[in-house]
Amino acid sequence: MTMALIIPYLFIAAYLLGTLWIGVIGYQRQKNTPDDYFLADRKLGPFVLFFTLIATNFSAFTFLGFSGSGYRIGLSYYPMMAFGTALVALTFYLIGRKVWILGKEKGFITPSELIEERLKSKTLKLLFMAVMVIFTIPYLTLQPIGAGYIIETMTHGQIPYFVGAFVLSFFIVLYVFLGGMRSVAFTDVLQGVLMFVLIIVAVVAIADSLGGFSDANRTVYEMKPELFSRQGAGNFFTPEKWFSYLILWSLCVPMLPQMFMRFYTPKTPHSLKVSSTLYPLVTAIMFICPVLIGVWGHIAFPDLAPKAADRIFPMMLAEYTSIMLASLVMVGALAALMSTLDSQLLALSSMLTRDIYTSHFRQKASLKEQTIVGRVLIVILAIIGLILSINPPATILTIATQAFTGLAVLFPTTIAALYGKNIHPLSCIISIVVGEAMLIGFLLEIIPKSWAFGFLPVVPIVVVSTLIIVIGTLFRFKPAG
Amino acid sequence: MKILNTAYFWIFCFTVIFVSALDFWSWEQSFPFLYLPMWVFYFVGLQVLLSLAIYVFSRTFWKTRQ
Repeated sequence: MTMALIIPYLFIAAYLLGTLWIGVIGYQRQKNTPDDYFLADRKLGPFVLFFTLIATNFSAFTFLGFSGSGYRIGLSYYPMMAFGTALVALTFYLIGRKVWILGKEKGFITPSELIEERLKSKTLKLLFMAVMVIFTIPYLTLQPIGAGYIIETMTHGQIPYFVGAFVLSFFIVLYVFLGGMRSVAFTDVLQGVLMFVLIIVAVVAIADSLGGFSDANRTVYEMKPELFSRQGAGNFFTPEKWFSYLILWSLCVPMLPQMFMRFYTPKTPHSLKVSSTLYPLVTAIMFICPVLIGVWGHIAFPDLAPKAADRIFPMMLAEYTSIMLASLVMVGALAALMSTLDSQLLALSSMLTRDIYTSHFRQKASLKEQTIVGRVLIVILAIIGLILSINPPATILTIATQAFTGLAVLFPTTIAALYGKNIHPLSCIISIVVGEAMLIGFLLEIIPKSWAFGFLPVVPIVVVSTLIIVIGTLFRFKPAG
Repeated sequence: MKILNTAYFWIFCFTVIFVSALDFWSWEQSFPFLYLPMWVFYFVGLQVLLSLAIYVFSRTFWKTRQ
């Protein structure tokens, strides 16, 4: 085996061992209580919180999905994702601040515990939890899919897609199993720094090989000018679609259980403020890189099918950079997806442990027993993600958009729980059920697309879900509790 | 400044930034730097503005709501 073929293995091994080592440090500091295992004892400072938020939010979708969409849609994909995600920073105040205060006061660990306490309904709690779990699983599946793509490309097919997905999932399970949120947060700092630095290194290196940024852009513009149009290729963005995407991320990102639970973890609100301020700057700098790489993909790979375009990022690295640099940057992509998958596994396992096992089967479960159950569930969830990743069904953007819309339905209920007065839980239950039914209706085309008036389904769905709660409150039913 | 501690000011401020992002594609195709379209830089500017606004917001209005 030549040195060139060994390098990717060395980088992957060094990165995985480094991550595992940091995970073990988290384990050594652990107190073995649910608060500590699931929320790092609510003591994260600004630096760790910021990196854990970006590392959790930015995933395989950021590297592979963005470059794939950049290839298909063009440069206009950049402001949609960057500005749309930057707006999420406002929800750190709108939702995060309140969640932090209530979490400190009442000791909540999961999102549904907060919903139950505020709206006094066990049914609503279970429904809220079920929606979070069901719609996080497709997004969770994206991570092993990304891992499989990356490792297969890095090793030139020597490690097949599914083996790569399995190995990465195994390492993640290992350190989450050991150290919980503390390990996840510590590894997120390493992973956040790696992905931020390495995505910039990647775009600069590829631009250099293409004769510089200006030459690379000019070449693509002469080939396919529509990739530089404001609407995107094939007039992808209409004003209605643009508006929908801009609000989609703010409605759904805080509803991702792994993001929601991070609002419980800061030691002081100062950490949330720092993260909120820096978020728009990070998205502005970071998101242009994978989109540009995707757009430049047309120079070497002009006619990829939509699903194949999701592999354009590793393909470009292999084409235009040295094996050493390509391997290093792909480690950054692995960091992005691992930092999301570990948080998803931890969040889902904590919800299933606290909201199902402890609430309904073993109310007297000791704190130690809860962490053991949480660990077992992490393994089961990772296996589910792996099984679902065997045959990826659609492009990464399609999977993500559908999963995110399902989560956005929870936004009106969350706002009602945090700020509402005299909110009847039944109105929230109906709001969620109708919202999800509408999503299924749009997906199965039972509801015609024209009923969305050109917007993405998320807009009419969230409008209807909100109206149901508002009307329910205006009727002023007496709360059941 | 008192105005920085009022909810209305911040609702207005963030709404203006959001509405500015609904730019409705009235752009001439020009490439001022790195052969990137002008609207790319417009959005970078908007995000810097959003970050600055959040910074001031967190030092004023948010501080009073703790």
